[in-house]
Amino acid sequence: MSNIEEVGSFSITKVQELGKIIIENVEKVIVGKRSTIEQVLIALLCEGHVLIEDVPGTGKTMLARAIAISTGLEFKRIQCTPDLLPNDVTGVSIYNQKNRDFEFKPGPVFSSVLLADEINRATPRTQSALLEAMGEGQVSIDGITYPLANPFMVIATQNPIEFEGTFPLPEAQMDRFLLRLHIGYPSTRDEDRMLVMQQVNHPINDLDQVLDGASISEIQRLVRQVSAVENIRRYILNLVQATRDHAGLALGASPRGSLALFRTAQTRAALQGRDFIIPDDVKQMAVACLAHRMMMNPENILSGDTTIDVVQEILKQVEIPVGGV
Amino acid sequence: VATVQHTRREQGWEEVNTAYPPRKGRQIGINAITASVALVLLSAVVSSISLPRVVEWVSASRGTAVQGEDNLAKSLGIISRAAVTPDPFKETRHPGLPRASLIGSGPELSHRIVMTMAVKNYPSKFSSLLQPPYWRSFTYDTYTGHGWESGATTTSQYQVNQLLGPEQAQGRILLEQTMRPVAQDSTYLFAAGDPVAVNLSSEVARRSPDDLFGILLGSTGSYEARSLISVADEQLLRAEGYGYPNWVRQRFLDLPPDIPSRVKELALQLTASAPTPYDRVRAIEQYLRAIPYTLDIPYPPQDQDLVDYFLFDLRKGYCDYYASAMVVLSRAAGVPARFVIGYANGTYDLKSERFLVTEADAHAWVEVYFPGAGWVPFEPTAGRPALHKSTVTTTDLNTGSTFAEEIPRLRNTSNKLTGWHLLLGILSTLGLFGVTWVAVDEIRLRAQSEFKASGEFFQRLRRFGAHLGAHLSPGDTPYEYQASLISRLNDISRYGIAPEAVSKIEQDLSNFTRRIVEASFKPSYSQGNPKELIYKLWKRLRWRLSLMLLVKYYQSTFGRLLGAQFHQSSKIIVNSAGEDQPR
Repeated sequence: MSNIEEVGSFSITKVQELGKIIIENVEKVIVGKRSTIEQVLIALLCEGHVLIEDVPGTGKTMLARAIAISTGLEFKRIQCTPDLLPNDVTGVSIYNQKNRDFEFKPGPVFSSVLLADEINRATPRTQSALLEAMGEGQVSIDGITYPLANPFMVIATQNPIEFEGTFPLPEAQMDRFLLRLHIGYPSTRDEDRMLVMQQVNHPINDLDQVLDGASISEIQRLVRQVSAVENIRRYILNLVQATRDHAGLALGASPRGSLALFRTAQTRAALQGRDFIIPDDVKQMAVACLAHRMMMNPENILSGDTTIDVVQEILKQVEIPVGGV
Repeated sequence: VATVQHTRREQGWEEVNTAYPPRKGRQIGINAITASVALVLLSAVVSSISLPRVVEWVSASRGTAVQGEDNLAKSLGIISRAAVTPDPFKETRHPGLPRASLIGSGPELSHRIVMTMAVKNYPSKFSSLLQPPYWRSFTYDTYTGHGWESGATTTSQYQVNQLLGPEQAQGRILLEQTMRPVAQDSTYLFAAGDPVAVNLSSEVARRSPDDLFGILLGSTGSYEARSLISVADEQLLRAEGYGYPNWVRQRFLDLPPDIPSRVKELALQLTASAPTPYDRVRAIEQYLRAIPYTLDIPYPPQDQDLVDYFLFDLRKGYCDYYASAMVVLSRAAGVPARFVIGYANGTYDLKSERFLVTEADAHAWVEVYFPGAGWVPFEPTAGRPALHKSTVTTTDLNTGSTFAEEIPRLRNTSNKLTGWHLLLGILSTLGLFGVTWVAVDEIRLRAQSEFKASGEFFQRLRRFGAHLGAHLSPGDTPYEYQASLISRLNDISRYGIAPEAVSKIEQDLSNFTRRIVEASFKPSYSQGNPKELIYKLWKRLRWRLSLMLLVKYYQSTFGRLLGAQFHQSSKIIVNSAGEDQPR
């Protein structure tokens, strides 16, 4: 049935099972945000980074922590401020007088899940140091290259409301994030449940680890084998092409965008227990994958439309190649 | 074809990024289907096989009714005999002999072309036809001793392309000829053999229902005529017996009482050793063909029988003499025959593919009656090529099928269509059309791989959804589409049919969608999947969705009829009506 060779002790059905366990575990902390949790998990399994864009207090930090605890990964956090220096992120070499040598003190980047809170408050210099680490998987300090942990995922957050004293991420650096997510407010019912749950104790303190880091690496290798027939590849390319041809956009999605869409769709299919991508996977991931890689035309910004609206419009327009038609 | 064209055009538009209305395709499809159905209907009405039967039956019943009324009226004296009208056939009824136009020397008979005759499919179709067609105008039954005349005839009006009703007989084929006048404005119908139909309204003179004298056309000019000509071979004619019908025996064996006995004796002498009627007339024909031909003869004596004079005294003459003599001799030998006039075949012009008929081709010849084969022409005139009886067996000509094909068509066009015929035609055509459509469609779909077919299935499902009013957008995935279709179906069935109909559809639909998705997107799909299942599912779905469509139209019609303010009550009516829907 499955054309995927099993990697280690994992098969596609096992991936689905584990994914479900992780998501349910995280849901103990984050109420009613199943799809967001799933997308963060997908980013983790795709070895990608996530930018969460939302107002404060919606559970961004909790989400990152819960994911890290559930998967047994090391979690660190940087609160970005304008006076944060690159060395505060990557680490610093300190002269050790005892053995008369420089000693490397690794920064928070040497962790598996790094939460960079309010990344747009850091100076461009610090931002680029962090983003370089994200892209390369290593940092160079004083001429020595230190590899980062594997898996390594950055969950950056930014507050879309405040503009004063911020340094918005340039387009090129936005492109380095695999997904951009919005958490949004919970529904009244979910918020009520949250109040009840946290009455005595925050549930994060009781959260268990359900997976180990080694398993994550194996799953990461496995999901890459999920197959995509020509129709699916064509569909992805049609979608990306449609963003490039769209009149309301100054900049369409990059080839890195198509690759991101392909990888995340693969992972989503695996989490659904399938070893092949269907168009629903692609559609599900398109907004998170593509919207932050595009730029509106200046004249269209005033109309209030965002790139998210554009992607959703394109998803409605672009026909899905089914069968031989 | 139209939709294919449209799809192609759409692709073209898409390539150049032209905006176009997405529903245009469907509209064009519907238009195309309407047009083709209309076309098919039209052709069915023209050449349907089942129609002629109906027409025949109707015309038969109508015909007897009219006749009955006629006879009744006559016997009661309600209708007096028709007022005496000038007889248009008068001058042809007693042509006399010899005809003035034929008297004189040869060169005087002009070679001016009188008319041209085109015969459809000639000569290819009639390659085995050894005898060229003679264009007949009138037939005569009565020999007066000095010439020929026709017995009393009744004249009837003839509608365009009505069937003249000569019976098909062995060894006859249908000939379609087009006559174009060149230097004559005659209104006589010239046709090879027995006319079946002509495309001009005209007057038909008959001595009895089966005994045509001639046809006077309503107007001069060219016409198209169909006729039956005999191509019976010797073998066939030899097999003929003496079973002549009454009207033939009464008229065409009759000779004047004062016919000289030596004529009769000659007839008996010529035919003594001939075993069959055919051999008798053949012997007579051979005998006459030995008499030299000339146009340069004196006027016949008034006190002597014409045939007697020609046979024993003159011993030369032209066609009228030969033909008269042959008819008289044949009758004396007990074989019914008649004297016919018209034009000989003329010369066939290969370039224009027509017979060019000149004045010099004016001719008189003989037709002999055979019970099975009808009237068969003979050529007693010396100097004219004999009308060979084909030695090719008649069955080779496949005459039966020719007749069977052509006559119904004539019958069909010769009668006006009534509403019933039309309805019958429409229904049968629609049925045939539908069955063929479904069959061809299924064959085509089955010939495709499931991967290819799944795309088509999805398109069709979408079309169903569009008709049902489901909320759709072009970018819907099959699963999304399935969800919106089901929600729409639930909507429709809310007031109407029992929910299990929808749940059945839902079940089939989810199986169907899963198969479509897997066939389209799963690389290892083709192995171990019975292809049969998807067609079965599709057929069931198509049927059920069509019923839902009916329900929907039913509801919307009721809703509109009852108006908005009675919306609530209309739902109740629809509810009760909906439950009657077959599932």
